[in-house]
Amino acid sequence: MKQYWQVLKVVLTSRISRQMMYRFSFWTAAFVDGSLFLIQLLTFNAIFSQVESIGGWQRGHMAIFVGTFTILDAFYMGTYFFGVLNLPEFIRNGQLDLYLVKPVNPLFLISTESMDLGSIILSIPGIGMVMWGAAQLQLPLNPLWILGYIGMLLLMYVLMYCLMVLMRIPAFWLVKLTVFSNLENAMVEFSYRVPGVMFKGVWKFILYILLPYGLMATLPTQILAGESRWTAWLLAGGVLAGFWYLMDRLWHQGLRQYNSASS
Amino acid sequence: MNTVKKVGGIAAITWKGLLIYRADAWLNIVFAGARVILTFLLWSAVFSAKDRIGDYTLPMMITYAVFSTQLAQLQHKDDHAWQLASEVRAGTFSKYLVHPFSITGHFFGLWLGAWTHQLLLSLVTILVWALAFWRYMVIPVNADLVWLLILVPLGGVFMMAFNHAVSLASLKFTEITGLLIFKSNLVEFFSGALIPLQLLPDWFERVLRITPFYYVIYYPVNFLLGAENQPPLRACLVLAGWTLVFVLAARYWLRSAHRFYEGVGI
Repeated sequence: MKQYWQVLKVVLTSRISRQMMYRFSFWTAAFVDGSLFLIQLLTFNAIFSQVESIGGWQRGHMAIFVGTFTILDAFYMGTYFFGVLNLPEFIRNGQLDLYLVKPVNPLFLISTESMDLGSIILSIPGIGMVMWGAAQLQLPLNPLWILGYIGMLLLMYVLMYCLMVLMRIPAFWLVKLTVFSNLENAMVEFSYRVPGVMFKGVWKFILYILLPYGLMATLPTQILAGESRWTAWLLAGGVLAGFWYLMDRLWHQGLRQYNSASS
Repeated sequence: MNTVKKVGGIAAITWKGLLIYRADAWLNIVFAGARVILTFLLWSAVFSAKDRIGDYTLPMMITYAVFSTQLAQLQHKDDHAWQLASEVRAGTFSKYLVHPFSITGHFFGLWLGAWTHQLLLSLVTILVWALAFWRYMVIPVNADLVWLLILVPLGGVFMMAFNHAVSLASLKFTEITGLLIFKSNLVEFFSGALIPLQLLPDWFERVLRITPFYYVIYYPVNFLLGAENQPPLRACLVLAGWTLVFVLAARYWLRSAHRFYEGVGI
């Protein structure tokens, strides 16, 4: 664990110096994410100006939901997003070799080496939105609920990581992956807008278990709103354990398959 | 004539390159349904409390979703812009400076190949998902729909010119990934790919009418639904005018900014 922290520290320092080479891009990261947040806010407002509640959730719930996904988005964009995005390219052009020979977990290094801390700023309006939503619903904000909310958000952050990696591992076997990135884009885009409480029957099974994007902001929102039971933790823990296991297995299987581009 | 032949040649090579990945294309057609299904779930929940949202009924909204998601896939194609920016960054852009063909012409050829390939895929996808949601499809058939044969390609050409002009900023700033993502976010929203623009405040929609993005996705799909009051000729003129603006801007910028290009590796 200590080694991981040390690697993280070194990567972070070198990343900041590297980003300062492209100052224009460094500052645009926050600006870009801010624009995305604004667009989601306008979309949210446009839909909610038409109706009072969606699937039993009022405007306050939806504000917490959108704010929660914004926080999640800010943290994964700021940490592993751009690194994991590079994975298929590294597999295709053989650059993965350079990571495999280093005395560090290669997936950890690839995931963290492209951190873009400018994106984390976006979590501020996200937190603001969650607080606004909580005020709208007049939630008592019990410290236990807040801790539960943060804990669930952490679980979802790791689950999102597993999903992102899993969507890119097929690069070991396939040359072109646009179908996975298109599917992921669609799922993430809707995770911002469609709360899990809307899903029923087979859709609930698909979007909670098979492609669990439906859980991402829904479970933390339900915990903060005090509408969740222990089953939510069981569901989140079970799904995360399953996806972590799958990611680990497929990653190692992919590495066995990997021939490097130049060999 | 020579230019047309060269553009056609580049487009044909792009087509050939894209045809290699047939499995990817077929899977994309199948998974394109994810957006339609999620939109269906969202709007079904919203419409459970109301019969109409703005001027839209649930079937109109689903029809809008099926067509707008595919039109967005088609019109937001900006691979050529990403390629130009990445080649500037890597220094391989230098090869275009010695090619016996204009840089804009080359990237137009690339775009044309990718756009026509996507057009075919989008038409098949619309057919598949319109059949899957046939109970919700409302398309009033009338002779005016012929206008779409002009509006859609014109929207595509405008987007090509716009994306090309934006990507040329890389000559000065080198790393423009953030700018390209920012541009995509704005275009996606302003073109009506996320939600019908009618759901936005009136003043905002009126402002958007003078921008070309209004006519790239929202207008053609609304026109198809028979829910558009503005004459199609006006839409074509706005698109043509803005295309000209961006073509001239790209030309001017290419002439004046090429001196910033450092040509890494030369």
